[in-house]
Amino acid sequence: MSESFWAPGATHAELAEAFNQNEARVNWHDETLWWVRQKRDRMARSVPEWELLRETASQIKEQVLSSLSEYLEQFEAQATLNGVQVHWATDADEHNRIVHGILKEHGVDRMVKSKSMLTEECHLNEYLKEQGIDVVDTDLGERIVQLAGEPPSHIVLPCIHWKKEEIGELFHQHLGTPKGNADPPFLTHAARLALRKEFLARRVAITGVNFAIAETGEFVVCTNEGNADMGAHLSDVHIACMGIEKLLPLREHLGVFLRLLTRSATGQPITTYSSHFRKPRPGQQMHIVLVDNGRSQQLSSDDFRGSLKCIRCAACMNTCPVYRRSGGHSYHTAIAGPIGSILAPNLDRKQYADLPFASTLCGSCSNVCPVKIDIHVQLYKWRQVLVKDGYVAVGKKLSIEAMNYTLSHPGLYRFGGKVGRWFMRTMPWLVNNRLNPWYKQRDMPTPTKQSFGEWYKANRP
Amino acid sequence: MSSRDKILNAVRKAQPAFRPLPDLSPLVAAANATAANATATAATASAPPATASAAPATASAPPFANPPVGSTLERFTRTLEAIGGKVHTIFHLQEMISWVLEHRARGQRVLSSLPELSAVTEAIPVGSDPHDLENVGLAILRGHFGVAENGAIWITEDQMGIRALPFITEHLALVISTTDLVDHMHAAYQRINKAEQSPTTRQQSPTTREEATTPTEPRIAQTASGFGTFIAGPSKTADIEQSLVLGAHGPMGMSVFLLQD
Repeated sequence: MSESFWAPGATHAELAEAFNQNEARVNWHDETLWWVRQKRDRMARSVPEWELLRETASQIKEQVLSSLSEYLEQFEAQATLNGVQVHWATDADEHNRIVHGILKEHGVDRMVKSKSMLTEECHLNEYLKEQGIDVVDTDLGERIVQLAGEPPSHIVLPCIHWKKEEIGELFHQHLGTPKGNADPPFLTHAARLALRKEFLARRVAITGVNFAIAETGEFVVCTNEGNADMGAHLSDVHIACMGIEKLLPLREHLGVFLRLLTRSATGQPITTYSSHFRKPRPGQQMHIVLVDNGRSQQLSSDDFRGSLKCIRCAACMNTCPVYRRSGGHSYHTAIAGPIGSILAPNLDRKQYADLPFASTLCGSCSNVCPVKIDIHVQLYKWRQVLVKDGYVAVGKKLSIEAMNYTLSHPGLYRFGGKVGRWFMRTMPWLVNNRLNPWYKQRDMPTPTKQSFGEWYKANRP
Repeated sequence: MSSRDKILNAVRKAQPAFRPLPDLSPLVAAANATAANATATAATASAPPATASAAPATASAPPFANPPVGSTLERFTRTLEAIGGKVHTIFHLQEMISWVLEHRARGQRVLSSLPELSAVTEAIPVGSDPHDLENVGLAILRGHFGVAENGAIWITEDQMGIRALPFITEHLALVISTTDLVDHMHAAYQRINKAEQSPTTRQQSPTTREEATTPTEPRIAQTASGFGTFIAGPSKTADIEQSLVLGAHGPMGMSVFLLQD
C-alpha cells in the first residue's frame, strides 16, 4: 500500500500514540502476538539441535552474501536453461515497470497476487492501479487489508490488528455476507468462494519468493492457504518477484531453512505448501524479477550487511515489546518491527530516521532470529549513524549529551538522583504532567527514599 | 550499462571477503540423533502401538514434545494429525474403494492416478486445461515419501498429472508406503537429490586426470521434475483473529493412506 496511507512526516512515536488511545485493543494486540511468540518457543524446544540449526543457517546466509554475484549469475544461467525468463531491476520503479510491461505484452488488465513483501516495498499495487490494472491480493489477511484500503501491519499476519467483528462488517460491505456475522470459519469460506472466482478468471499470477537455489534455478514459495499455487498453476503467465538476497547455493540448504522458517514464524512445523518451481508447465510463461532496490548498498556496509540474511519470519516482531504495543502501522513502512527498523533507513535515512529509536534495545529480537541477525546491535549502530548525519532532532541530541555528562560525573549523578526522588515524592505533579512523555500511557512507581547505591553502602557486609 | 550489469557490478564491489560454506554433516548427525533418541524413548516407555490409525493427536505424548518421542511412523502420524491431516493405515489399495464410494455417493467428482482404483475413479486428464478441474471433489495421488518431523509429503508433477490438481481439489488423498518415511528435512533433500541426480554426474571426486577434465552435467539432472511440493495437511489460515480455519484456498481436508508392506 501507499505512502499516502500515512500523513507525511508522521513519526513512530506519533503513530504509536494514536494506536495507544484504545487500551483494551492494545492489550489484545499485545497478547495475541505474545501467544504466537510462545507457539514459536514450543516449536523451537521440540528440536534439540535448534541452536545448531540457527548457527548453520546464519553461516550459509553469510557465505551467500560473500559470493552473491557468482550465485546470481549461476541462478540466472540455470533458470534460463529451465525455460524461465529472468529480469533485473535496480530499483522499485524499474521492478514495477518490468511487471507492467509483461502485463501489457499479454494485454491483461486484471491479475492475482499472493503475498510478496517485495512488491509491498516497491508499492507495486498503487503503480499498477495508476496504470489501470486491477490487482487482487489472494492471501486472506492481505485481501482484508486491501479491501479496507490499508497496507499490511505485519509481514506474516497482515491483518493482526483487525477484530473479527470489523472483518465481518468489511465483508458485509464488499462480499455481501450477512450483517453481524463475525464467525471466522464462515468469513473464511466466504472469502474462499469469492477468491476462487478470481483464480479461475485471471490469466496472470504474481508470487513472491521465499528461497531461490543457484544450483538448480528453482525457487520456493511457502504458503498455508495454497493461494500462491492456485494462482500460479491456473495462470498463463507466472511472475515471481524476489530480492537478490533470497539465493541459497544448494538445494539441500532448503532443509535447513524450511526447518526454521515456519517454526519461527507461526509455531507450525512447516507451512502447508512448500512449492518448488523449476520450469514453467507446457504452454505457460514463467518470469523471475531480480530486484536490488538498495540491497547492494546495504551489502557494502560491514555494520548493516547482516540485515540481508533475513528470511521474513517476523519472529522479531512477535517478541518485540514496542511492536506489540505500538502496532505495525506505527512504523510507516512496508516491513515493520525491529527488522524493518534496520532495513528502512537504508532506503531513506530522513524518512525513517525515527525507526531505530522505536526500540528498548532489549535484544529479544536477536535472540529469536532464526538466522542470528544482531538486530538490536544494528538498531544501536543506526542511531549513531543517523545522529552523526544530522537526521535526529536537536532536542534529542542535547538531552543525550546532558545524560552523558551526568552519567560520567558520579557526584552529579547521585545529587541529581536525590533531588529527582525528592521532587517525585513531594511534588509528583511536577513530573507527572502532559509535558513529560515518560508518563504517557504509564503509571510510574512511587520513588524510594534511598537509591540502590545508598542502600548498598548501608547494608554491605 | 544494462540493469543486470549495474546490479552485478554493484554486488561484486560490495560483497565481503569470501567465506566457505558450512559443513552440514554435524547438523544432519544431530537431527539423526534426535530421531534415534525419540525411537529409543518410545521403545522403553512402551508407547502406543505403531498402528497409525490408532494413535490420535491426543495420545500419551503431546503433538510437539520436548524432545520428540516415538518411532518415525508414530512421529509422522502424530504430527500430521496435529496439523489437521487424517491418517489411515491399509494393507491393500482395494481397501480404499469403499472410502472412494462414500465420496462419490455425495455426488463428488473423484480423480485418481492409481490404476488399482480405476474402476471407481476418473483418470486424470493429463494435458487438459487446469480450469476444468474446478469441480473436483476428491483427488487421490501417490506421493514420494513423508517427513516425520513436520508431517509433510513430497510430491512431484509426474504424480500430480496436472500441477493444479492437489490444490484445486476439495479433498486431497495421498498414498505412500509406511517404509517411505524419513525423519527430517535433511534426509528429505538427500532423498530428492538422489532421485533427481544426473546420471552422468560424478558422485565422487575424480581419481584420474581424464575424469577431472571430462565435462559433467550439473549435479541435478536437467530432466528432473519441473515442479514439486511438500504438502503438510489441508490448506489453512488463521488470518482472522488467529482462529485456525481449515480450507483456505486449497483442499478443506487431507487424508494420507499409509500402505503397509
